[in-house]
Amino acid sequence: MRTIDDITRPLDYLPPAAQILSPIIRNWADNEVIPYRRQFDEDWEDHTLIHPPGKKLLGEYGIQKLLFPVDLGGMGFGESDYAFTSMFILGEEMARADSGLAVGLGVTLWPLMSIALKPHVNRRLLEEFAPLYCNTTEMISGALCMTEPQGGADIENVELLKGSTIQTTAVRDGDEWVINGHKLWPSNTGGMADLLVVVCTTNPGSRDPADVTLIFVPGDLPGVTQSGPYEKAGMACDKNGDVWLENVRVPLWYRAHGPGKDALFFLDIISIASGVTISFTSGMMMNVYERLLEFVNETKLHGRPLKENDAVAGVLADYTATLEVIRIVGYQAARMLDRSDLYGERWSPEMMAKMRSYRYFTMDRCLDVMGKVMNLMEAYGADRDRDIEKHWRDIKMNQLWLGGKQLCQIEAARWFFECETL
Amino acid sequence: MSDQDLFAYPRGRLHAADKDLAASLQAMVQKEVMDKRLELKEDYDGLLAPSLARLMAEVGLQKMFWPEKLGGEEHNEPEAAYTVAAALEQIGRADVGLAFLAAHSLALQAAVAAKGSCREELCAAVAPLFCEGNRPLIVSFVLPAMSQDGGAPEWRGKGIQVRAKSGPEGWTLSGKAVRPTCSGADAGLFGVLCAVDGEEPAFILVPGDSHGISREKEFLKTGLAASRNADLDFEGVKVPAANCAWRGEEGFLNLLSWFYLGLAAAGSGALLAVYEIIKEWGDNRVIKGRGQVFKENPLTAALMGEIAKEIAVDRLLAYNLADILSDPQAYGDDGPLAVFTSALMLVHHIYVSAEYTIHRTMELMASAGYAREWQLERYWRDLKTVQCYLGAYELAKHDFARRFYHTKTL
Amino acid sequence: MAELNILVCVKQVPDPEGPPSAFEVDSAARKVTPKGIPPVLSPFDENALEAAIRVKEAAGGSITMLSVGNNLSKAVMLKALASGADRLVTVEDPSCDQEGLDAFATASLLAAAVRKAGPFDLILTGRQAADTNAGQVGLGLAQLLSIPAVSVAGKVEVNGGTARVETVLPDGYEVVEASLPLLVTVSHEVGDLRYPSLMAIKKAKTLPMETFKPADLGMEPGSLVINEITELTAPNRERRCRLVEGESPEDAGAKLAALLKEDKII
Repeated sequence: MRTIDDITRPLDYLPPAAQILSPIIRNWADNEVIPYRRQFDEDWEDHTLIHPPGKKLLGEYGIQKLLFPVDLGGMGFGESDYAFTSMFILGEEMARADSGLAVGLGVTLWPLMSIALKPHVNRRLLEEFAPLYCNTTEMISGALCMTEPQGGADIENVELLKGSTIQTTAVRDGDEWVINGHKLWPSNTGGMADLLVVVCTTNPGSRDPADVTLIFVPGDLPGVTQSGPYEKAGMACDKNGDVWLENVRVPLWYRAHGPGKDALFFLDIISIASGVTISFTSGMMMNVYERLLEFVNETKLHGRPLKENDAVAGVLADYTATLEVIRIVGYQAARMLDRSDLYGERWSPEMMAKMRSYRYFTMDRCLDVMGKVMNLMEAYGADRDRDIEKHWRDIKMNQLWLGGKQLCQIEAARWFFECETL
Repeated sequence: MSDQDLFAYPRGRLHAADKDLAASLQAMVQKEVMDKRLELKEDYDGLLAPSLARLMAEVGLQKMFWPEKLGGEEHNEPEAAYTVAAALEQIGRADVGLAFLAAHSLALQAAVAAKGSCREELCAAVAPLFCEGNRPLIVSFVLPAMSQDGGAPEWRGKGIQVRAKSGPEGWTLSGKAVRPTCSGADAGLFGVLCAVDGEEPAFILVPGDSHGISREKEFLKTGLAASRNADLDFEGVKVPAANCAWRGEEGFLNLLSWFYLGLAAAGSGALLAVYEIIKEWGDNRVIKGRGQVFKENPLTAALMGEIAKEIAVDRLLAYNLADILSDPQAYGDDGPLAVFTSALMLVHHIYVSAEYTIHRTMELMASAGYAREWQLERYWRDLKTVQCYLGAYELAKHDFARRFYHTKTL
Repeated sequence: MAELNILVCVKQVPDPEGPPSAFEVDSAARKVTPKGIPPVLSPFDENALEAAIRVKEAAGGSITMLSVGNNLSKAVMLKALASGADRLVTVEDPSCDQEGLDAFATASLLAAAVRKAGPFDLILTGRQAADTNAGQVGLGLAQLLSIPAVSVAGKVEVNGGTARVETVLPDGYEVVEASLPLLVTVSHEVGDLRYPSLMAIKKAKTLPMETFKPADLGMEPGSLVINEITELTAPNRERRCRLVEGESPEDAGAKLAALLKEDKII
């Protein structure tokens, strides 16, 4: 019988650690998440069921140490040539079980990428936060605070707006930054963020990239307030909320890099997120394939398994054809991020355009075929016990964060067609 | 002109009473459902059950077709198709699940109690469930489906879930792990298509409190919170002979055609609500560094225009189905199979379009598209759930092929 | 006792749920003009109609709806009729435009209409209209008809020739019994007006409807005593914002509570 391991991935791209990483995460998914995930939607506020598997993977297995250098207690992936391919494997296996968990756990690492990835490593900040992440078996939650009440994802539209719409301010006062602002929607907030990276401006309205700042803010500092989590269509494992920053003071050196570089490396982590989140799509699709395979074998039409009906087989083929292509595209994107020597800097407009293109193209294709297989299962397609509908909800949400589809289209058109006013 | 009226529909074909009913329902669901949504969300006991009771018992949708002498309103001419469309559209705008349940009741009434076709014995047996007292009656159907029982007798390619035997004391029904279309946990009446050995299938009405029906625990599903669905076992369930609504295909096709009308109207109404949501977003959102109102951006305006186009066409299609049912002869009078095929095509078209339309709307609204607060995601989940209960589109296409290409073996 | 004749006086008003921005104060014309707001029955009048329907359900009888105005909306009146009334009487005339009628003039017209269309055993009105919120017409009508009145009812029952009314008080309710004929002003505690069924909507159009001019009621033009509005201006809203600061959220909350107590808000 076929399994998800028959879905192709580019073996020549795989990191040496893949043989170890994949089974660990799959075992975690099969034993710690999948048996409980049908109750996760009702656990969106309390995380009574959701927290234990997160703690096990991040805290006890130590995945939250992934990006820190080995000498600081980490796993050293930040300077690896396989960082993103490894993250793709992680993301795929986690999302196969629950994409909300994959987002939540992945986002814990996301802000750290601004200081832990070669070539822009900030050793002092890594030393500062390594104890938080590496000297514990508790789960640590990191959050990247970008979106603001007015303009929404405008902040992610860096090419056009150059940070001019950022309302959250960082004002230098002696050897400290004083931060004031209001952020919406960051993953891992809703009361759970231990470490925030806040996108600020030192000069509101300025279009000078030097004024864009990325500042690390411990979640327990005075003046940091998190709302309760928003209620959403799915992805209960990923809490989102409001974050208010009122006269929050951090040392000057909590800024990720410095004038100009923060803006560049902000683009870097947007580009990375666009590429690596394709792993969530292929992970979800792999689990749908598993559950679909069971359904079309068990269910009968004209006395034969459903899959033996030619019309049904056509839909099934569309599904796996899409999965095959998305997985290949996803690994290719991860490889491009790993090999900037071959494909260009991750924060370049070209890479941004390409990562955004892969992201929205794969999401669109996935949604199309996932909607069709859900319908193919008739009443059982909408049934929580069959798991398909959960992934159908989650994939849509996965598509919409980071500014939605239109922003992806604009970024892509801007570079490929050299548009100047979009 | 109201926002709804921007979307053309054949208002001249509606009687004044249809329009008044629609206006009254619009006001009612606004006050009783939509205005309470942020507080009560999808609370069944606090929001949906009281609203269902008002619609079915107080407004009297469950009495609409039955003869006056049995306590009904005897609004049972074919033109009632327009009444059904206008009413369910307004209800669907507020809550697709409520409209879904009402569509079951109205379809059954239309199929059983239509003028000239109401069998006295059957109506006398069943009408009191609908017309006596002030309690809402939830109607559910057990329709043919793909199944794990490979040997089940089939109806148009799908397995019939329940078997029935006729005896001197009436019918005896048996079926295991039967999945109804809605409300398995609390329906008061099931309309069940039954296989009968060596004979034509029978459509039998089974009161929910009949001995031998056991209901599984309510299962969780994507949407339609108003429908508390659960699988059923029928173990030697006995009902009187009079409860057989009809034998053979004709009546069943008619029932399904009216059911699809209800679903089409519910979908159209939900899309009107989607329009209201994206309109508000487009009017008030400012993008590109506060330089542009959302609806004025060429890319987003094009998408919003396409959304309006889909909604406009879907509304016309829903009312066109009402027109077909109100006067089949005007469409060629090719019999119930032709009407059924048209109904099936139109309703699938609307639900494919609805999914497409809401996806585009969600994309425009980004994270707000899936936040419960903005309500859009509920229509998305609800309409997708209805589409699943409509049946697999791939298999519906076989029904289209049977009609248009005279296939023999599908 | 013969069949109970119930009268419900209703007023058509611009929907009070409409946004405040839709109501424009025209100081020159001394009028308030609602823009794009549909007419509805005044909500307390809907409560009065619901109270009447409940009395009819319990004690039998018939319900007449009476309204005074100019260009009354047929749809609004039919919707109300469909909810459970049996007959509609209107007094319509350009001189009856509600912008121009004060409470006494309205009560006078209603009283004349009651004499013409009655007699009635029980007259119900809303406790006050949603546009003026004056609350004078109901009691004025009772005075002009020389019948007793009970105000602000949360429940109305009739048994034989006696009505039992629960009136709403700030800290509970009071039970009043009174002989018919009687006028009762009704509050929202009675409950919302029920929604009409399709059959009732269809039937409403066939119910008896009569329309009178003031002259038909013996009220000649110019005989109505009408107050003159000498000045109409929009309130000048000043918003004052004061930020309450504290050492901690708890401290700020305590200071806010103290200020609210000082201003007698809590």
